[in-house]
Amino acid sequence: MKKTYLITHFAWMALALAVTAEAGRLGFGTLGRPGPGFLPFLAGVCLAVLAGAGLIQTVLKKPGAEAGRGFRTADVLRIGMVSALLFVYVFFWDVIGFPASTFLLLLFLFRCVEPLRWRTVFVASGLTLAFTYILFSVLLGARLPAGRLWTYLIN
Amino acid sequence: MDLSHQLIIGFAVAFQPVNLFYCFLGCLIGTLVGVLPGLGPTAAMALLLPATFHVAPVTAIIMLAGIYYGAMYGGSTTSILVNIPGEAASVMTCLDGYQMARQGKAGRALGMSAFASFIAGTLGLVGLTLLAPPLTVFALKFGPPEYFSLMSMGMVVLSFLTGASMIHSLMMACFGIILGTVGTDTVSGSTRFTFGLTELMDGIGLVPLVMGLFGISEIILNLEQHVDRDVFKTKVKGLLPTVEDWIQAKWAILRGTVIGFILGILPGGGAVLSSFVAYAVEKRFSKYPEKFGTGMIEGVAAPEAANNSAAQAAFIPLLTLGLPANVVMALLLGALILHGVTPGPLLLTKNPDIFWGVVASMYLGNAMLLVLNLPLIGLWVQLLRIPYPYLMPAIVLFCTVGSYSVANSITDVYLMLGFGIIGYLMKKLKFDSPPLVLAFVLGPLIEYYFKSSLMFSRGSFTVFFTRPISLVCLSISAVILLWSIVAGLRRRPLPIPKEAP
Repeated sequence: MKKTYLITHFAWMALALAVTAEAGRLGFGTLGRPGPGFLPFLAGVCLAVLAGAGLIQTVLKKPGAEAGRGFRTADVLRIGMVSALLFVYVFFWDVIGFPASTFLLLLFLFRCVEPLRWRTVFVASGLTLAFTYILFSVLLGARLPAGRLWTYLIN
Repeated sequence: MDLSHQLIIGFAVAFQPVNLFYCFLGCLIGTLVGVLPGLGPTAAMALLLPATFHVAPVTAIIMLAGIYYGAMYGGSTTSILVNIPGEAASVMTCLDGYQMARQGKAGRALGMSAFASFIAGTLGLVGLTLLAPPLTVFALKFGPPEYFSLMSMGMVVLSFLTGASMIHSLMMACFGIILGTVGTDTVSGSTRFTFGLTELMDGIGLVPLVMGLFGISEIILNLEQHVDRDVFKTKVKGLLPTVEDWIQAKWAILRGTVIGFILGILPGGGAVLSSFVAYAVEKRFSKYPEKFGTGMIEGVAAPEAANNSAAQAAFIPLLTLGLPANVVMALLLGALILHGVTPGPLLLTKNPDIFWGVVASMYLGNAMLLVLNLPLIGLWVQLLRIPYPYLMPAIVLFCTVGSYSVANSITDVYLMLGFGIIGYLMKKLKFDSPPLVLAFVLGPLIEYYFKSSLMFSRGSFTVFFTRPISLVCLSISAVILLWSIVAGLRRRPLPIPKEAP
């Protein structure tokens, strides 16, 4: 985990430096009339200092003997796959619409993340989709995307 | 207008059928969220925030508040029957509650938990009713420097109290402030950190941020571990505690109430911390401290009283100063602002119906929760038996659709997923989310008060140190920071756990 923490603190420091640079571009203004970059600059500097302190603290710590719960390759792959799938799912809202893309996502989640029988998967997916659609679209009036593909095919 | 008149106004608002309905709905959803691990009150409130846009502000806040204190009640059910806290404030209830269930006293534990919650919640409300008006008068003396210093103190205290590392918590507070500056600067009109995206011109939405950090991140984290909930196979009967139970628990309830109330008001305090402190204090006061953890009824009563009292007390700084004491209150602050209501000292004079309506609804909500949690306990036990694989896809779906429906924006959903991944990494690497969310909500206000103070003083920082209230707040922050630095230097470096293969 020591390496992970070192990388993390370097990443925070890089972010902090990027923020301070952008804040400088926005303009600090003067003390009597602070500009739009004033607070982001201060926050960026504080973040950089704290990330530096965290980095020093990590360097000074000795690696422990017992195994901790870090990032296991299998978990990273599983989480990466599900996260990517969620991004793809949202991308497809615009293309095939909310109901179709949601049904496909639910099939995947019910079947692959925690394996259930196919009949259960279809019933659970259908019921969850129907409940969500009725709640958000019918009762709460949310305008869920219908999908450009269907509009294109109909026209 | 005296207190009784104000309370009458409040009850007149709270007894309106629509408000009664939303109060009940909030309590019901809160209990549900508390019972089912996986979606905490913060995420649930964020999820339902868009659903409140078509109702009056007072109705919206009544429902959202109901979710918060309802979750405090519901959380104990899971702790007692499954040994998994339904939400963070019920962690301590697991220790003795589950042991009582194992000894066949599940009903008495659940009953004591509900009664302790009701008594503490009601006493906390009495405190809120009595303390809020004078505090509002006091808050009228606050100017921009006082608000800036108070908010800064709130963030420092929260960073100090949450999480294992003060450095990590303060980093999260800085990151929250930076995220809060995304969008158009209201003073200069220039855009900040938008990367040319028009969707970010109005800033990052509170709902996608909270749903990502608290909802999606939890789902991702659960992908790593198999979530197994073995509901204790016991018949839940005899929900009324015995006379002996009452004698044993009476002081625990009162002490828990007082501890919860004090810690609930303080910035950075809240239900989670107060339940831990109440349990520790009860153990210290007990003649049999060694028996704690083996099924002592005081071990159930004290933390439950504390977290419910704290939940009510946390409304005091929000409603009187406009200062959220914890992340849930930060969300409520966001909700009030979205509804066009400015919380703070003027709320009581400008919108007494909202102020007293919410307070009165909480009295009713506490009574509703007692009814929901005792006679309907069988229903909640059945809900606990729903396997996690069935719940997880539904939670994912609710988060995505909930984020989208705030502004019908797909960008918000992408942001939420991004924050979900960030939230997961933060959880893995021990960076806490509450300071981030609090700083995100307070960031724009801090910037406004900071700039106003400097403009008022023509660029002199002495304005923060020459005004007594501001000086006190900044001194407290400085002491806490120094304390953390000294404690960090004196502590021997802890070993970093090695990564698992």
